[in-house]
Amino acid sequence: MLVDHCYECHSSKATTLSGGLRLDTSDGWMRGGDSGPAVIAGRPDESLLLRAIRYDEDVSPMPPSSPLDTKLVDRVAYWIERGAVGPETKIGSPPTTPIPDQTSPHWAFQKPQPATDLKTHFEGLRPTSRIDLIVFQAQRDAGLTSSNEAPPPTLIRRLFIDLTGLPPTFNQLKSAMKSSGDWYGQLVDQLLASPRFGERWGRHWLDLARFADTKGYVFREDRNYPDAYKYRDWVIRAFNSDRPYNEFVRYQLAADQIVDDDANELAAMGFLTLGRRFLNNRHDIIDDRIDVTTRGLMGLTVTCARCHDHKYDPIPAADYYSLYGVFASSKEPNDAPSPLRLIDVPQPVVPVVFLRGKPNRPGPKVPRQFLSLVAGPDRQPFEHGSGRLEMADAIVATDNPLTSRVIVNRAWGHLMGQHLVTTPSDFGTRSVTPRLHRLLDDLTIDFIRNEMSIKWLVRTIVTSSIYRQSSDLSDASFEVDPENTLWARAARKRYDFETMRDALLFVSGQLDGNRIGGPSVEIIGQQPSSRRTIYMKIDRQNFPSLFRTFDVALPDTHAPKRFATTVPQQALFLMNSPFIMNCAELLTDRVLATSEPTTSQREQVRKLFRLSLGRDPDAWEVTSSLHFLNSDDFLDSDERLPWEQLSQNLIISNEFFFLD
Amino acid sequence: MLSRRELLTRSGLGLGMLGLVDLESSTSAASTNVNQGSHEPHFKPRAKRVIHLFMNGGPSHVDTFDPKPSLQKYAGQMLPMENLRTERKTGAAYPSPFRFRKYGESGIDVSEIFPHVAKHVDKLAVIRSMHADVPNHEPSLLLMNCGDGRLIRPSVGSWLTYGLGSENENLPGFVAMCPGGYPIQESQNWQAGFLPGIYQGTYVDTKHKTVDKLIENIRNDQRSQQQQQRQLEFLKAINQRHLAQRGHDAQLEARIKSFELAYRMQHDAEDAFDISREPKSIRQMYGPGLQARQILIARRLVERGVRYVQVWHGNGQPWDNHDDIEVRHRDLARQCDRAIGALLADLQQRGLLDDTLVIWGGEFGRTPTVELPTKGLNEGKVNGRDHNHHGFTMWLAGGGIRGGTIYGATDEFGFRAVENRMHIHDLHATLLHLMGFDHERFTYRYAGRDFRLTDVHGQVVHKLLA
Repeated sequence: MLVDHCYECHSSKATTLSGGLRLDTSDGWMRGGDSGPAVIAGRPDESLLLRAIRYDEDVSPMPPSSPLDTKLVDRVAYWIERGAVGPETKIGSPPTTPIPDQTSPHWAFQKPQPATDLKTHFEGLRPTSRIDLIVFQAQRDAGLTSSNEAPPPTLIRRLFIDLTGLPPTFNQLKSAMKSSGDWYGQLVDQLLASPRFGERWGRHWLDLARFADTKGYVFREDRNYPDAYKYRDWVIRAFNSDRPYNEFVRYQLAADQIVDDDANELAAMGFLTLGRRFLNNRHDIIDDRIDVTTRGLMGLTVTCARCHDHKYDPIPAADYYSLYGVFASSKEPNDAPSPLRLIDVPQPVVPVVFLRGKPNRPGPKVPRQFLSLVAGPDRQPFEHGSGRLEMADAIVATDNPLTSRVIVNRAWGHLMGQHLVTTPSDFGTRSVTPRLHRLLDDLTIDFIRNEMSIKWLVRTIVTSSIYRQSSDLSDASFEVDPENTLWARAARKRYDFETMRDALLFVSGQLDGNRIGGPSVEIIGQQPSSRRTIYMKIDRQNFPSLFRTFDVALPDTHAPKRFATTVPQQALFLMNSPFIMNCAELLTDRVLATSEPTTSQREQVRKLFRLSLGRDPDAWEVTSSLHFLNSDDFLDSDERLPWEQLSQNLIISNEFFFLD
Repeated sequence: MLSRRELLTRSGLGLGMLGLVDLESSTSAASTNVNQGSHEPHFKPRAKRVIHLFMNGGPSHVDTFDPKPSLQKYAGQMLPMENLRTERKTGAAYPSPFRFRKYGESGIDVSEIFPHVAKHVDKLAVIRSMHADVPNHEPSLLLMNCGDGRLIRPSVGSWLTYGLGSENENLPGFVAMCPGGYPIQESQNWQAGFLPGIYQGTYVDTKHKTVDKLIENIRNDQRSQQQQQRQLEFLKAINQRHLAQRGHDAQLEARIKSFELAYRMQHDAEDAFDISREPKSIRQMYGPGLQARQILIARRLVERGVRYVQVWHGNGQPWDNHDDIEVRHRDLARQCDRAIGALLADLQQRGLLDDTLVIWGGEFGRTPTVELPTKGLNEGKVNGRDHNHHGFTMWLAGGGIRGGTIYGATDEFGFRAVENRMHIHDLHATLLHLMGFDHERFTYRYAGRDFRLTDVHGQVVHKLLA
């Protein structure tokens, strides 16, 4: 607005500066011109700027040619009311620039509050947890009601995929339903105990940790991280052994200060060290580490404060450089046994603010210390070495309002298909307050009380009635809540790339799925591995188009969540790629090779449906499959062709790719 | 039950969005995405599509479009100014070995190595005052392509396909062609950065000639077209029945549609990349060779609605002539000059030049002074030029550009841009402007910030506009 309408006369670009007033810097409008300050932050009605553009009587009307659109005027009023923050607010001394007062404190920066006054009886509904009580209440208040429970086969498939990333076999489905008593709870426990759980949930974590096997563009240096897999193995082990989340985080930030020489544990620090190398630019490497730590663990966009104070959240640039000092005081030793770790340098660095983010413009010194937003007025500088362990402790402290909320929101998103806070790595003031933030708070408190156990968290969510709902869409629920922010139905979820590939290998009998851990493998090319997709080698420099096409998280920087695109390139892969053709052939083998000469085609079709979709075909499916197989069009072709085409159709169908 | 149209309109997701990309449709009803930027241009676009002819390595401006007769005066002597700092040490003035001549009504000078381009000089706006930040390939390539020399940012083509979509849903919206492998900095040059992966440029190795080698999975080598069609019809029946059992669901429908699009894409891509379908006269006009082939493909792609086509001269950095510049620049120009001239004529005769923007240039230019020999690099040679980011030339033609224009100037010797200096951010601002976007308002929310192609920089250069 200012650029378009005022700069002509009131900026450094003006040929003659009118009224001595510059509106291209915050200094300019605060200091004002010949008539005094143009803007008084927080007080629109006393600000000359607003009065001039409102054409108030006692001031010179601006712009002189014609008044601005009233919408623009309103926006300026709002901007002044909110503190008139400029795009290039200067960092001066003292190092902690004052943070604009917030009229009402942002919910995510406050301690979570338990939900109170919970009603326990809801007619026609069966709440099984506090989650249900809170959500049912919110639904009722909005005139909604939860959907019915999904049928057992749907629930079983949902649990298998959500907890292990692999579909159930026909027999697993049958036997799960046959179990007596609390078959559902038993199945949940069984899947949580499976080593496949760590492979599924470890992959979620690797997105967040921007995991890759290469450094990115590094000119002529070897670009591989040959030991990257050790970090992946550590993550998988940690999920499988259900390490408390606080411990899980502490090791990834500061294992070197917790254990002495245990290479297995030191690999945890791959979280920090496996980022892109930016042609070995030290400042960018540190920036990436600050980013993965703050956005990844606390949902705070701290790296916005690299060049100036954060524009929206109370994060001064000084705080960025306090954390910068922590990482600048840590180095990667060159010894072979634990290549992924960091250690402290002997003489910790006293960081200075880089004005406008430029290392050649050093500003005031700042201590190594935690974010003022979390540490509050009694903040103390870090005392031990780099301060990395102290930083880790401050991140996982139970009174940190963000860390636990952030991981609870992530787990909810993975299981429910949609996060409560829709910007899972930005809980700042610009994020949308979730309608169910009471639920997030309550669940967070329980999570902390249950020793930050991820398996507890997953179990609590998936045993709720809310999770167990059907995904059928009713007119009423769509009418009232089209975006399903109150979870009156389950989200229909599409397989991500890893689940797709694992499931395809699985149903075609190829999956090498029992080994756990180990070096990365190529899954594209001439001799692709048939290990689970989490073990794929990831080159972040030339990220394969296949991964891009299927929305795999880009490992350039921390990835908050995956996109879900639907594009023809995905269909082309499923129609034509050698991989899918091979799956269709092998699935056909599984049907035909085990058939007796007397096996009818009808039985073979049934077998194919059981293998691919885990269920028996209905009458229409049998008839139309038989019709397809025996069409005259195939008279001249190889007799396997119709079978391979039918097999392919089932494993690329919507039913195969979506979880109801 | 709600109809598909109702579902989409009520959830605020236009029908058009279903075409190529459904962002963020992980819930059963189509949900809107907070990250969706403006998919409507801010004002009427002057150009609808772009062909970027990327002379990677850095063509020398004083040997192509920015004549400097003063260099002759100092030939073999040090310039009367201090040599600016570039990547390596340079020495005495090195006059261009090529002759320049004035062409067209505008009388703009062009070097003898671009005689065909010269014929179209009245269509060009020659910017002689470009400048970048550093004299190294990697950051300069990233700056030129993505607006930042170091950090992960979406490329120009990704921004534009994100903002405008594709005019042809049967072809990728952004194609990056480079024969024989990647340029320096590799596929980062056409990265989508924090935008969805689908906006990344589709890389095509134009060393290959057949479509199945050009585009991944474009053909099924085990099934005839008829067989595949039958199979997909049955697939559709299966999927439709699955959908009907569940009522309406935009993401299920979109996926059904994606198979139909893919089936058509097989045919359309084959057609688009097959230049043998061009009449002989057209193929002769572009001339022989690989550059002609890929530049002709570029025309076929934009003609079919592809939004952004980048044509890289070759893998590595072909124009990076630290030595033997006379021989090598002459040869490189010979490879592409005729085809570029043909492209401009061909676009015009088809009425496409009016709304197709053609960009020519490298990531920077070269020094007017000779590069001194370095052991193991240009050892024993004193006949090349170093990188020069202080001043260089690019030209624009077509969509909304005022032809026959010279904009800006370098100093007397061509070392530094001095008059109407135009930074790469300004080029980006101008390019977005031509495509209908205000570069300050065309943003994408990521990691707590609204990102722009031009970050906090950039000025639209109105003098270049028709």
